[in-house]
Amino acid sequence: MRLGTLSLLALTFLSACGGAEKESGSTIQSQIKQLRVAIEGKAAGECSADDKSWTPLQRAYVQHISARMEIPVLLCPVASKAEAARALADNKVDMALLDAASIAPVKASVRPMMTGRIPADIGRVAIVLVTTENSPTKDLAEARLALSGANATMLLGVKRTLAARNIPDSAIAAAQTLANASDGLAVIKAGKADVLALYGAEWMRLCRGEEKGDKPCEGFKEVWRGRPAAASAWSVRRDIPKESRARLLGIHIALPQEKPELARWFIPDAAEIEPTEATALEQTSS
Amino acid sequence: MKLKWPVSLIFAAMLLSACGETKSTAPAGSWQAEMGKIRIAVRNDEADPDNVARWTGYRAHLKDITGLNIETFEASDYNGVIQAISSGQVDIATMGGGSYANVDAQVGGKVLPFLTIRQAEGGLGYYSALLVKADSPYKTLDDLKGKSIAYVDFNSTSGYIFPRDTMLKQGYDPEKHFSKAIMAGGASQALLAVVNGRVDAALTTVSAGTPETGFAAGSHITMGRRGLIKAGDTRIIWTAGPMANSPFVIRTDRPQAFQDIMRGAFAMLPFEKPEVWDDMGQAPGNDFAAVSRDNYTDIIAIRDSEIKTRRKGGDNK
Repeated sequence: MRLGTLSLLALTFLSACGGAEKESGSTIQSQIKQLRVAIEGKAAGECSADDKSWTPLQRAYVQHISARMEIPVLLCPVASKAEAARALADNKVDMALLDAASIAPVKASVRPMMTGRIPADIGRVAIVLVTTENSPTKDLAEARLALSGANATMLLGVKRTLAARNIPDSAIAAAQTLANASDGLAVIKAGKADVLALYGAEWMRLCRGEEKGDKPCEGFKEVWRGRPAAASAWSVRRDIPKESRARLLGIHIALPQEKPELARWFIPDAAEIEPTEATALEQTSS
Repeated sequence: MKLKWPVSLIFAAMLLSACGETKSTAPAGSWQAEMGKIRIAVRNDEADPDNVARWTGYRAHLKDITGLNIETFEASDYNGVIQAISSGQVDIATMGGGSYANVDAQVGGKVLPFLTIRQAEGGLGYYSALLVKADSPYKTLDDLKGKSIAYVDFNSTSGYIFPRDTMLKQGYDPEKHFSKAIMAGGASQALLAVVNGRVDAALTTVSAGTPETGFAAGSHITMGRRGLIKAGDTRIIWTAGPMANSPFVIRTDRPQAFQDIMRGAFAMLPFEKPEVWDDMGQAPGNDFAAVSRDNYTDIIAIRDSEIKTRRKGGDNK
């Protein structure tokens, strides 16, 4: 079948029903006019679109991002992450690699946007902490923990997230590891543990039940859910237009496929670049 | 069984529906002005109650980012989505790897995969499972010699293309091993054909696990939850996989800005709007991973081989 015929047929198929999308008017925002990227080095310096001191990878990164964003891209040397954070908040740069300490003073106006996927297999595991509906447990650090051991790799991720949530190592070491999440619910229901920790997808699938009308999670409540904080994340000002943020993100997460050498320069320790939530550099992100 | 394309297409036409259209006033010269609106083709799944919520969530999010109207065209026929993206009548589509292989054969690099959903456990692949009635005597593929099987669709990765290739590699010629084969049209129909005793076995999709750990997700589980079958009605006796998760594909003749923005907009959703992601039926921890054609070269090669075999005269029984 020829493409022209296909087009004609497909055109015939696609009949708009209308009505589902009722938002009126355009919400198209103006986009950023340049991108100034903070680069941590020995000393601060002026932003520049090119410099003889740049490495070939830095030059290639600027050219690639500039071509894809269709705006000038400049690299801005900064002496530290703290300085980068201040420059970002003061609108002297537009993107910078920050960590928890550097973003803290400016987090009202700056947010993380992307980070490396570490560890490469399961990333930053989103977990859920569950108690019985009427549990008196207030202090999670003191709670007796139950864990689901249905997936050994994810169990390690759950433990990492618990540690990042400031649950003491001793409490994690003393936790009961059950065969699966259902057994974990039974244990906290019997009062043999206070809190069941499991990864979010396991919790969701458990609560869906197996048969219509099943309510296996009735009588239990989520008391916390979240991921461990990222060690560092490329961050932007919160007022960056949404479209510009999506475009920056879309270009960067494709770097490992399109320009793997630039991806390795951009985030050296990660095989993949992934988005983050706005609280990804905070210890108790949720 | 032969599907005649025109009949299939006309059938798809009856099932495709577009939703939503309001005017947007994009600045002249912008990619929005060039696009006008964003059109996405998706294959609906009557066994998946989250499908409508999923696309309502995507539409609202994408409109919020781009300012453009988002139209989704739902088809219950694999071929409807394949032809819509191949002909350029839509800009983005979601489809199985096997369907993408079909698109690749038609238009090559004009359509490329750009994202796929990664399970919380980190997997970028899923499995095909051969299910039988739980109270049947069948325990292995050998036991199904001379029995009947329900496939999903010629373009279904897990319900036809990939498992047949695996069977061949394991020494089972599906054309000879089974006495009768039907094309059920969907995973739900294939499963119902087993439960109702119309066939002895059916191929369907399972994920969130491995043959060793068992699978936490799959068509049989979704149908059980909806009360369409009972959880214990079926039993898995054989699996094939993993195969690359279903890609989101995009027309590469659209503005580069559009392609990059779509990649970023989809990818940020699980992190920016976790409550919407939940409402869309996605598990916490599921997210998007960037992919390229390289992730699907295996299934493209398998489909090419399958087509060549069929053209040599090996028609389905």
